[in-house]
Amino acid sequence: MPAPLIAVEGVTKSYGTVRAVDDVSLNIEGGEFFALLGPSGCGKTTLMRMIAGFETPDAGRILLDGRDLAGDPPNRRPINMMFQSYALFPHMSVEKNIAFPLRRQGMGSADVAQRVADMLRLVQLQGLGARRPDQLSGGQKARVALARALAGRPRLLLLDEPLSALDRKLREETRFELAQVQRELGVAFLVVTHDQDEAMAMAQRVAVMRAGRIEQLGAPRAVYERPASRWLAAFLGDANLIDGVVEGSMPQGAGPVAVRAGETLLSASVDADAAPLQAGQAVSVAIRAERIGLSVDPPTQDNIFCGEVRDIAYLGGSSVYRIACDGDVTVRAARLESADAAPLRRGDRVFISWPSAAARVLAR
Amino acid sequence: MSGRRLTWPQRLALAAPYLWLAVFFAAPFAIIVRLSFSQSVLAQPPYAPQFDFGAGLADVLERVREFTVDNYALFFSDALYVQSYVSSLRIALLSTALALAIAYPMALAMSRAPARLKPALILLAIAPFWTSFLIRVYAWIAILKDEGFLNAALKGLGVIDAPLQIFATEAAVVIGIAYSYLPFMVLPIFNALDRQDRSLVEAALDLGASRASAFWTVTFPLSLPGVFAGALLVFIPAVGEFVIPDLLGGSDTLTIGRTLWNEFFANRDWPVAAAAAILLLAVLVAPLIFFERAQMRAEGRR
Amino acid sequence: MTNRLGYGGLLVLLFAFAFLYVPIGLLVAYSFNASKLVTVWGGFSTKWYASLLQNEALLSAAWVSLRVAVASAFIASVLGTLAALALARYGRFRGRTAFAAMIYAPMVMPEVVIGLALLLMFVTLDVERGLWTVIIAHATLGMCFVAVVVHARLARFDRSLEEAAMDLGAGPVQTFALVTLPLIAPAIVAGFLLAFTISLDDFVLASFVSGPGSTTLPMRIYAQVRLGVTPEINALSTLLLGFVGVVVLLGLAFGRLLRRRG
Repeated sequence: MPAPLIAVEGVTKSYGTVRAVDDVSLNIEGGEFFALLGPSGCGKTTLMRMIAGFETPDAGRILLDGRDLAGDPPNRRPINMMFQSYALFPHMSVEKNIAFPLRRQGMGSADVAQRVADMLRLVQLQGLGARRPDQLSGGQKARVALARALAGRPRLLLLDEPLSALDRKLREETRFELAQVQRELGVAFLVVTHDQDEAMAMAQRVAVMRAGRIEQLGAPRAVYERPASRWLAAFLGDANLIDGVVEGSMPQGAGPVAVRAGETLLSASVDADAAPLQAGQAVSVAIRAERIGLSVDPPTQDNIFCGEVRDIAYLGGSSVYRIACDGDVTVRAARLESADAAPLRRGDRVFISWPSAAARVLAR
Repeated sequence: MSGRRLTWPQRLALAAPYLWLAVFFAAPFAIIVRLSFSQSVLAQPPYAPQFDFGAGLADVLERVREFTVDNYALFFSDALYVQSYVSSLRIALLSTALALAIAYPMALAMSRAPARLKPALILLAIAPFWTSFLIRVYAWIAILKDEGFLNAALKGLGVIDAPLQIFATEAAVVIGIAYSYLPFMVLPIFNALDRQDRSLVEAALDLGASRASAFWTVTFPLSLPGVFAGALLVFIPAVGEFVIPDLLGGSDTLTIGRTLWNEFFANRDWPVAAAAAILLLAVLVAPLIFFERAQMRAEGRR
Repeated sequence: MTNRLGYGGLLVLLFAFAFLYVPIGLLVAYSFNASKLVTVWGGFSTKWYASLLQNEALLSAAWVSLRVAVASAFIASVLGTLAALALARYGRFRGRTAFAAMIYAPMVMPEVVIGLALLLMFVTLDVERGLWTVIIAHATLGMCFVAVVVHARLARFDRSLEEAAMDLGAGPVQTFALVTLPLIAPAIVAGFLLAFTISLDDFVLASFVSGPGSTTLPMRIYAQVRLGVTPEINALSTLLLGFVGVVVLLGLAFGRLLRRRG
C-alpha cells in the first residue's frame, strides 16, 4: 500500500497548560478533499498550521509521501495555504501576487506570465491582473488568494475558513467553485472550518475535532447520520437529544432498544459495533428534527406520541415546530411546507412519530 | 520565567539598538543617580567618591561612606529650591488646564465636522508640531511684550490704556506651554470623541435627555480617557520644560528645569544639578503610574 | 443629524486655528517688515533676508545643524526600525521589559535630564565634545520616536502577510525584503522625518553635549532671542519654517510613492 500524501501521526501541541492538539492521527490521500470541522478553539487551526510549518509539534510526526517534514520551514514545503484574511500583499498587483510563489521557485518570466494567465482564467478573473487588492470585491479577493496559493502547484492546499469573509449568497456560490477547481486540478485540499454546511457540501471526508482530539472521522453522510457521541449529535445539524435509561435487558448486536425517558418509552436503534448496553444504563436518544413526522391523523410508525404545538418558526421552505409531548418530553420537528398540507397553529394537537432506525442510542 | 529563544540573526538585529540605549541612555542615567549622591566639594570631575574597583571590595565599601544626601537636603532646606518645585507644578497644572479648555471644544468641533474635512483638520492641528518649537515660542515674545501685538491691539480697540504686563510673568509661561503642546491635547481627545458611536447620543436623546445632558452624561464621560491621555502628554513635558520659562518667564519665574540649568551652567555645581534631575523625575513618576493604571483599566473594560 | 458642526462649532474651529496660526503668521509677515521695530509696519522689504546671508555665524550654525540632523536621523531610523522589529516580532524574549522601558523612557524624560546625563557620560568616558556627541544625543532621542512610529505600523500589520510570503516559498530574508520592508517603509520615512525635525529643533540637548566647534542653529537663535526680537530672526524663522515644511511634504510624498510602488 503506497504511503498517503499526508500522514499525521500522534501529533500533540500545547500552549502553556492547554493542549491545543492532543495526540491526533489522520491521513490525507492525494487528490482528496478533506475537511477539519469543529467549534472555535478545538485545535483545527493549530493542526493546520503545523502541517503548513508555522508551528512545531511537541510530539508526533507529520509525513509527506512518507518523508518526515520536521525541520522544513514553511517556504520549503510543497504545501500552500489560503489564509482566512486572504493575506494578499497590498503593495502588489493581482498578477504580482499570483507570480510571487513562481518567482520564488525561480521560474522564467515567460513561464510566469503564462502560469499567471492560466490561474486568472481558472478563477475567472481575466482582465483584473493589474488591479490592486484594495480594488477588489470580497469574492474577487478570495479567488486571487486561491489562485496565488495554487499557482506554485502545491501537493496540498490548506484553506483556513476560506469563505468566512463572504456573505451568504456568495459563500454558497464560491463553495461550488472551490469544489470544481479542486476536481479540475486534482490537488488535495484540506479545508478548516467551523461551518458544517461548508464541510459537508465540499469534503469527501470530514474529521470533527473537539478539545484537541478527533471526535469522529468519515464521509459527511456517515458522520451526520451516525454520530458517534452525544456531543457530535448536538454539534451537527438540528438533533433532539432525549435523556433516558435503557429499559429491561437487551439483545446482543444491532436492533431496536427500549429507552425510558420519564413516563415515555422510546424505541431506538444502536450500532452493531457499539459497546453493549446494560439495563438501567443512562443514555441519550438522538433524533434529527427532520426525521420526525408530524400529522393530525394517527400515523402508522414505531414511536407515536401525541402532543401540543407550542412554537412555530416559519422558515419559508420549511418550518420548525416545538412540540410538548404528553409526558414531559419536548421535541423540535422540521416539516417541509407544501401548499396542500393544512398549516398547523399554536395549541394544535398533533401526532409525532419517527422510525426506530432514525433514533440513535448514544452513551451519556 | 524563561524568555523566548532568539535566532542568531535576531540577536544581532536586537543587539544594536539594545547596546546603543544601554550605553547612551541607561548608563548615563546610572551616572546621574550616582553623582547626585556625591559630595559637592569637588563640584566638577573628578567628583568624589571615585571608585577604584581594582583596589578591591574593602576599598569600595570604605568609599561608600563618602556618599552623601547633602544635595537632596539642600533642595528641601533652601526656600528657593522648594519654590521652584512648587511653581513648576503650578505652571504645569495651569498650562494643562488652559490647553484642555482650548483643546476640548476644538476637538469636539473637529469630530463633528464633515468626514471629508477631518483629515485636513487633523493635519492643520498637528502641522505646528512639525515646525520649530523654538520659533513658535519666540513668536509669542513679539505678541506678549509690553509694546507687542496684543497690547497694541487692545489699546487700538480702546480696551486698555496702560499696557498689560504679561511678558516675563508666569502667565506668559502658561500661555506659551499651552500653545506649544496644544496638538498633544487635541489629538487624543479628538480620537476619543471621533471613535464614539453616534447612536449613543441618539439613544440618550431618544430616552429623554436634553442635548446638554446627553453631552454631560454620555459624550463627555466616554471621552475622559482621551482627556487624561492629553492632560498627561501636556503635563509631563511642562513640568520639566526649560525653554519656555526661560524665554517667556521673568527672572523670578523659577522652575525645576531652570534651576537644574543654572546649577549646571552658572554655578557649575554638578552634583546639585544631578539631584535636581532625580527630583524632577520623581515628580513625574506618580502621574505616569496613574496613566498606566488608567490605561490598563480602560483596556480591561474593553 | 444630531451631531452636526453648526455655527458654534465653526466659530470654535476658527478661534482655535487662529490661536494656532496667528502667532506664526505674524512672525512670517513681519519678517518682510522694512522697519526695525518688530511690531510697527514700515513697508515691505526683503532686506533682512539679505542680511541673513551675510551672517557667517548663523550660516555655519545652520550647516552644523543640517549635518547633525541628517546623520542623527539616519542612525535613528536604522536603530529605531530594528528596535521596533524586536518589540513587535520577537515575542517575549529575555530582557524585553528593560528594552521597552529604555525605548519609552526618553520620550517622557525632560530634555534637561537627558542632556545632563549624556554629558556626564561623555565626561566619564573622556570623550571630546563636538559634532558627534550632538549626533549621538539626537540619534538616541530620535530612535525612540522612530521605534514607536514603526512599531505602531507593525502592530497594525496583518501577520499572515509575512506567513503567506513564507508559505509561498520566500525565506526569512526574502520575506523581510519583499513584504515587511515595503509595508513599513512609509512608517520608517515618517520616523526619519520626525527624528530629523526633532534634531533640527533641539536646543536643550545640544547645549549640554556640543563642543566649541559644534554650535547648532537653535543654540545661535536662542542666544539672539534672549537679547530680544529682531526682524532678522523673523526672517530666519520664516526660512526655517519653509525649509521644514518642504522637507516634511517631500518626505510624505516619498513615503506615499514607496507604498504605491512596492
